[in-house]
Amino acid sequence: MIRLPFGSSVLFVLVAAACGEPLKAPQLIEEPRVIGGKVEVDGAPERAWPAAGEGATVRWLVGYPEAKVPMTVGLLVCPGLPQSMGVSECAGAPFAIAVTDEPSTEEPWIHFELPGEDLLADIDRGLALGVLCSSGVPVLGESIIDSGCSEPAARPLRFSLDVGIARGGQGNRNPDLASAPVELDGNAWEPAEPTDMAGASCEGGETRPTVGAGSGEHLIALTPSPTDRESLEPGDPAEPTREALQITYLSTGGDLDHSYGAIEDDADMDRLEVTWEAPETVAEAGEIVRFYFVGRDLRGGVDWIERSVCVVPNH
Amino acid sequence: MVPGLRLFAPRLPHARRPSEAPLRNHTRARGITHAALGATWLATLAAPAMGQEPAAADDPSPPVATRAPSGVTPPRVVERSEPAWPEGEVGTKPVTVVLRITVEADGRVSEVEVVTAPAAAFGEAAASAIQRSRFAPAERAGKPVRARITYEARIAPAPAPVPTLPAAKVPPANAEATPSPSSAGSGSDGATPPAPPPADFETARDATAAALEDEGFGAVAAIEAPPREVTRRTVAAAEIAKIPGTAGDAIRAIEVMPGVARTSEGDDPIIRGAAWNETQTYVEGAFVPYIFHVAAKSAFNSRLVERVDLYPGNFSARYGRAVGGIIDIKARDPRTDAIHGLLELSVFDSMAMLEAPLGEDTAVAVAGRRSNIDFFFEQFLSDAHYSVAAAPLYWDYQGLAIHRFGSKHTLRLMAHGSHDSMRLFMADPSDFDPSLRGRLEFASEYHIGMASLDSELGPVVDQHLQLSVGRFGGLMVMGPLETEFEIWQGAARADWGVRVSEAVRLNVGFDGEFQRLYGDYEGQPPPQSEGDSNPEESSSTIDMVHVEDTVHMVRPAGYAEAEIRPVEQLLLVPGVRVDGFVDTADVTVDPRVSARYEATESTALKWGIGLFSQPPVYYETLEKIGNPDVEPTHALHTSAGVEQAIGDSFSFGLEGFYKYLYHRVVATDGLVPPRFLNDGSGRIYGAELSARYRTKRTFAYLAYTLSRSERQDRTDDWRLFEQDQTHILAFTASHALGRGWEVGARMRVVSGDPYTPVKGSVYDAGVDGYAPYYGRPYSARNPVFHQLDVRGEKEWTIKRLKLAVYLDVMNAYNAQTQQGLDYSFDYSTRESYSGLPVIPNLGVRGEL
Repeated sequence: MIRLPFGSSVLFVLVAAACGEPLKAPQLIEEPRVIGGKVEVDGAPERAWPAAGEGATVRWLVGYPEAKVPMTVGLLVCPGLPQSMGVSECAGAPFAIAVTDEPSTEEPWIHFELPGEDLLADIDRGLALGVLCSSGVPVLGESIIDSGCSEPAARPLRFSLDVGIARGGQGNRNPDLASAPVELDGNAWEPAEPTDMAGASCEGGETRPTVGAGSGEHLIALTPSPTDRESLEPGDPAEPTREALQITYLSTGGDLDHSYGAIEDDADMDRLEVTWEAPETVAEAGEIVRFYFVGRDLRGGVDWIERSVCVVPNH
Repeated sequence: MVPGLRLFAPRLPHARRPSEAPLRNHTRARGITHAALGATWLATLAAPAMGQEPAAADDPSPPVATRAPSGVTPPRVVERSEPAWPEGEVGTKPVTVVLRITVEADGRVSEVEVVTAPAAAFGEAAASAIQRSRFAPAERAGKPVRARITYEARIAPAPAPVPTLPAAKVPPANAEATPSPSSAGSGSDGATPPAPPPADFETARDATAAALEDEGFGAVAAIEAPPREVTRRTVAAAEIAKIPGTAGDAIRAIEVMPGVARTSEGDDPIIRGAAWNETQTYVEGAFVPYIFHVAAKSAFNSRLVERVDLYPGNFSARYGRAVGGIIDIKARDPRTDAIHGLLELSVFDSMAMLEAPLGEDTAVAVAGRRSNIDFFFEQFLSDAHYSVAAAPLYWDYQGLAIHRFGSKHTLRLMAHGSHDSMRLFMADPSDFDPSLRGRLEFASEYHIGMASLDSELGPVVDQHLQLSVGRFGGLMVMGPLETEFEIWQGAARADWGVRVSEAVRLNVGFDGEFQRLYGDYEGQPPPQSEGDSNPEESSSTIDMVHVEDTVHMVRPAGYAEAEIRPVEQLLLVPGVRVDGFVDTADVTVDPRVSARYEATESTALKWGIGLFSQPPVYYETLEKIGNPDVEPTHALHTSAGVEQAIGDSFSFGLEGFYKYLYHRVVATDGLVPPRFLNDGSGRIYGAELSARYRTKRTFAYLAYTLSRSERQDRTDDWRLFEQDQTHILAFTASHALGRGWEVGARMRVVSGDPYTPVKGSVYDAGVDGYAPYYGRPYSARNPVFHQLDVRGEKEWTIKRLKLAVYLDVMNAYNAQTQQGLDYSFDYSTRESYSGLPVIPNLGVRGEL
């Protein structure tokens, strides 16, 4: 018999959904952390799901609150355990392993090749796992929980990504945010220069927009292409027939109004907006604030773009 | 009834279970959190008051019709003191007051409790009169013994005051045919002299007296039978409203009893370390799908409750399909003395009730209630984050009718239902969990109709037949997560009692139920019903499943139980229950036995042992998300205790218990197939102490439980039950100051709930969420909970109108004890959250 604890459930949801101040704002990058990961099939980077026997690269995006910090990284790709919750674990020997001994600011990546169809028959999905260490070297254990850094003081950053496997002609494409128009206060907003380090002074980089410290809210708009949301194979009538697209908003300064935007499977709009409040104070030479917009189709397709602004003192 | 599936709330950010829903009281609580706080106010405001007696518990309360135990001659009244019609009360017909009294072996009335009364004044009048009466004591084997009996007192209206007529008024033309009191004349000064009672009053008075004579004690057979269960704890309607901190709610009133753990507002009760779904709740013997409205108020109107019985373990073979405890809510009969109406308005809901006799043998009562939250709900929301499509709304209704066919058959008809709903739209996905976005909607509804017939089929056989039909529906949507279901249920029960001899009574019965359940579920795979191994993970990092199915459940059961008294002090109750679970092709056979030995007139020893079974939760057997091969869980209950009365005012009870659960349904690691197995076990042991002090004006009740509840999942080590509370101390007291003033307080000191500490997390780049990993399950514990609730009330009587003003203050000294932990999105930092702040609740009540 079904029993319904609606009394507390409703309260639970109201509270859980509440927009109270979180302990840490997820949209603000306050320390180095992994904020995205994507799979690009060899020769067809728009494809997120490799097929049996194909090679692919898993790329990771790390956000830094200021200048990039050299770190060591340990990465692997393995068959994933068919679990539906909890920390993902490997179900067998890795397809590829990569461990760096020398600290680097390069974005982590690992290349792998899926085995042939006969060896993939019992494998539901692949799994990419990694550990970043600010000191020492990564130590990969039997599971990601057991993996860490050789320096006990280093707080390892552990991360994972499911790797879909294309079968029976079904695949999945990464969304293409690079071609999505982005606006700041109604003006086109061009991509950030790779040299635009968060927290750095505003010298150079004439193309980036400038806003005054304490200038209040600024409207950011992002219009992904409708083709980013792929049609899905018709099956269960209750299942959606098109992908949804979830966008994560992140910045290294100021205050984004919220962390996520979403275009639902049945939505007929493609424009997402978020307001950003500029920092109240910055250094005399101005400061660069870097933005990351990470799009996910929630089936393994991921893409990201970066923007920056110069925040100058408001004299 | 069939244990069931908690409508599965999709996993939410940082993974607080519904039972742990925090209501933050600090600066984080903006926007909708205030709404949640407001909703919880619902639970504390508008406390209905029923009756005037202070709280009591651990106090068996049999129905009036309970038969005398064999071999006992009931007490007889030898000198009756007639109750006087209370001053200020208006009425033309006699009223009935049901009392529960203790007659000592010397014939003295030592304890009087008002069970039902049309108004407090009638109860006081009847109680006062019975204490002035003298009895011939009950006898067993020719020896006088102490006995508790239920006594129906009838109070006839006082003679109408003689109206003062104008001296010049001409008597009516038919004055001779219908003598009028005014014909007695008036004094020369115009004042009304005492008048002889009118003829019709004398007639009524005679009739009342005659009725009392006829009923006697033997005819009503009102001696309280010893309980068939080792432990039955009761809160009577008259006591419910007087327990501070429970908002006058019938079900929440059991919180003061031993063995009842502290839970969040509106959560199912946790009884003797059993999980929420291991205790079954009945309303008049019929299952209700949920107990509380969204505002933690009982879905069944507490004003229509006669009493709530709690069986924490070793319950009768009459009950089954539960390995924990039983809560049985008894509706009261409609009042038969006159038409009564009640209208109650409060900030949070409005309620109307009407009771009326329909002739000599029939009476009806109807009640309805609707929430008022929707009128102000949007004030608590942040417009930037939500739009309200349908504000929270709840309503319920009850209808009761009783008809007596002579003195041997009583038919009861009842219909009741309840509805809760709410719909919001989130402007953007939650910052806590991106999967929580779009529509947030709740709706639940049930409608139940039932009929029962109680009959005396002969001098030694009685019968109870009951049939109920219900429809339950529910919907819960949180963005892409959705649960919808509809259930049709039919249930039947038949019980027969046969007195085989003076020393043996046999009870046999059948109960069965049929359910057709349609469900459509989109959400995370449901974990095991207790002891979720992954309690903190948000839905964003969990793979969703979709299940749409229709299930038919057929569950017949039969039982037989004997009440054997081999010697006069000893009552043995052996019994057996056989349950069939046609849908899962299982049969369980549960033998049970209990014993009660009355060592002295004031001391009773009791003991019980037995097996209990409960089918798996429904989703655990579904092919897609469960394992069709899982079987019922079993439990061995044993308990022993002593009841001791000391003088007229003080009594205490002490019980020890041990429960062993085996064949428990537990989940596999990561819910990998077969997902659920019967590989778990559990052990619960402890002691419960209750002490009661009661005088005419003062009532005090102390309940203390020392216990430990543990579970073993698969081959893992033993862990604590998720709501294990080592110490549960509750002290409740109230005192009538006189002139309608009454004050009360409840103090609770309870061990904090255990929780599973988070050790770290792994970022899932595919969904932008963090999956936590844990230390030992339930190896940490929240600090001790403590809270004081106080209540004061003043009542005025203005003719038939009763007016009362009360102040109920929950958490009077604003204790801020940790209820749980809140984690940051990446689980790297955490903070504690506490429960409700101080909540004063001022109310006004009026009724005719």
